[in-house]
Amino acid sequence: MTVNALDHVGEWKVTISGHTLEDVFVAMARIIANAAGRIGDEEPSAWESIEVTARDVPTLLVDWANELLGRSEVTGLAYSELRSALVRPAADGSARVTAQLRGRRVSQWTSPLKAATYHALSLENVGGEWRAEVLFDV
Amino acid sequence: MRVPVRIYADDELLRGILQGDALAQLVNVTTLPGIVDFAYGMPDMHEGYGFPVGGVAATLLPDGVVSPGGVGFDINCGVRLLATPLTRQQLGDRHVDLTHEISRSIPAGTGRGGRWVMSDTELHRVLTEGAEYLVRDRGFGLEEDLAHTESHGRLPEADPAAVSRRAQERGAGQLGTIGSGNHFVEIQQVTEVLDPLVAAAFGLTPGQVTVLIHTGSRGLGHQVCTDHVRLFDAKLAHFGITLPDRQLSCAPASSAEGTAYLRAMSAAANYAWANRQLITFHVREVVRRMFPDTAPRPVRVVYDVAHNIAKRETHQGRALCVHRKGATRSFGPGEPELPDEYRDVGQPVFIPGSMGTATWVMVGTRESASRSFASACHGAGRALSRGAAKRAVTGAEVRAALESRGIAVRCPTSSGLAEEAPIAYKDVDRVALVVEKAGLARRVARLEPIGVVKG
Repeated sequence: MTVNALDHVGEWKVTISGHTLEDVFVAMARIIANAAGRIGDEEPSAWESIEVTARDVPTLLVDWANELLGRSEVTGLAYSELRSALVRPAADGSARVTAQLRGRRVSQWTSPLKAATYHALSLENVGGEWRAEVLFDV
Repeated sequence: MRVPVRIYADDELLRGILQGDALAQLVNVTTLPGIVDFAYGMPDMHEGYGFPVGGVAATLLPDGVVSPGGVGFDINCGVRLLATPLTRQQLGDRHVDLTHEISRSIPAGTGRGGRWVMSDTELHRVLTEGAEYLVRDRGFGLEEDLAHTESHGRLPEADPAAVSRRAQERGAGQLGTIGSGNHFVEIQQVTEVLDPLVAAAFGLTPGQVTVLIHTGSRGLGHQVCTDHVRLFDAKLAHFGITLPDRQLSCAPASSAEGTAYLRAMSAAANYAWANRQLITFHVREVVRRMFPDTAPRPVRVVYDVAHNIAKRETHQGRALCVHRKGATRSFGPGEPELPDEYRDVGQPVFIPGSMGTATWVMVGTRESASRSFASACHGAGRALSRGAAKRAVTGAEVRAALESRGIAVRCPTSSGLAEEAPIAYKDVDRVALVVEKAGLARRVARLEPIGVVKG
């Protein structure tokens, strides 16, 4: 998977590419964890289960990002480790992501990320590769 | 387009505005149901998401829409100017110590970090009563601070029950913190007074040391916006609304959903006013400790204004919901809400530049009521992306340049300094002049930084 930051005058735009939808969702989690700040030396937290649903897959990616941002701020953890991530589009177009995640305590928060937005959101399969573009408020 | 757009800019600022998507975003704003008159672009307007930053739009109540995207994630992000009893001469080279002590007393960065982790009861009182609770019940300020705060630091529509549990959890430990990004506490000196009469009314004199606080509602506000954008986005079809940008998602202000957002947004706004009030308390404590001889003359709140908010206001006899996204209220003389000492001159308006550049203190005009729903801009406005700023200059270079000019700097990350470097922003003097020529506010005094605590 690849992650690139694109220039945006006011905010922060990121592109993510991956072979599977799960790759894209895991990459998004790592972007948020890596931005959190300085990580402490403590052992990782216990595994937590997470589940997010949305009306479609692109919306799910933004809602997933915002769930991780909020959860991370409440628990004080940067969730860089995921397992059993599964993205399931449904016949009606809605979608669900489930995973287990754990993280390490952030000793100094410096994340500029306030929230992911729906503005100019895209997530599509191009030539067998999933590509997403998401704008964050910073 | 339901209404035209109107942008206040000179040729140079307009060239910058036209380089990104800001104009297209302002045109998108004109599609909001219930919008009246114009969608306004302030001179510092730049590309955002949904609304451009520096966008102002009003919808006709009761059924015009309210859009969380017209407020932003950092609800009631705003600025508060404090006037200290110190002069630059009295401060001397202790400005470095003052900057350091303020940075030690006010947590920066994101996440949790406040010293006060509030109980549910305390948080609900902050959400309901805003700065009033901190001043009247907790002793974190003076009664006159409230009169010198927009809406007296409390929107009565606030309802903690409309604020999600997640938002409350994010806010419980963050009161009294700056946050990250472009948030800061800056120590300044008054270097120029253009309107002595108004400056005197604001209590500002040449050489005086001031402190400018720029922060908002922190994670609580971010979560309130996230929750309601998601909800409104899912309900657009139900309301029969189609929009060119999902981040403009909205609901009629009179609907259950619109009412719930306004109640939650008001609670987040109250949190932000309480946040700046608690930071004010910490600044006062630092000044009192470091300069005990000044104790009889307190650090005064000149004024506190929001620049990310939607408010119920009456303009030309119409009840409106005025969205200010990166824009400041700019009431002229005679407004009943203004404190007695400002009522004859108008409301203070602050236009910060960036680290290393000036801040303008301006005063609202009567003309602004008919020209921009009584609004002016909120800063210099970004000219470069954060990435472009980091490619142009390093944090170490920014620090060295500021310190060579006698400006003390405290910042948790070097990259944060580079992202907010002065080159990343438009010329604040030009922006303030355009605001004045457009009749939105008048220049009163120019402040220059001597110490910066960055989030």
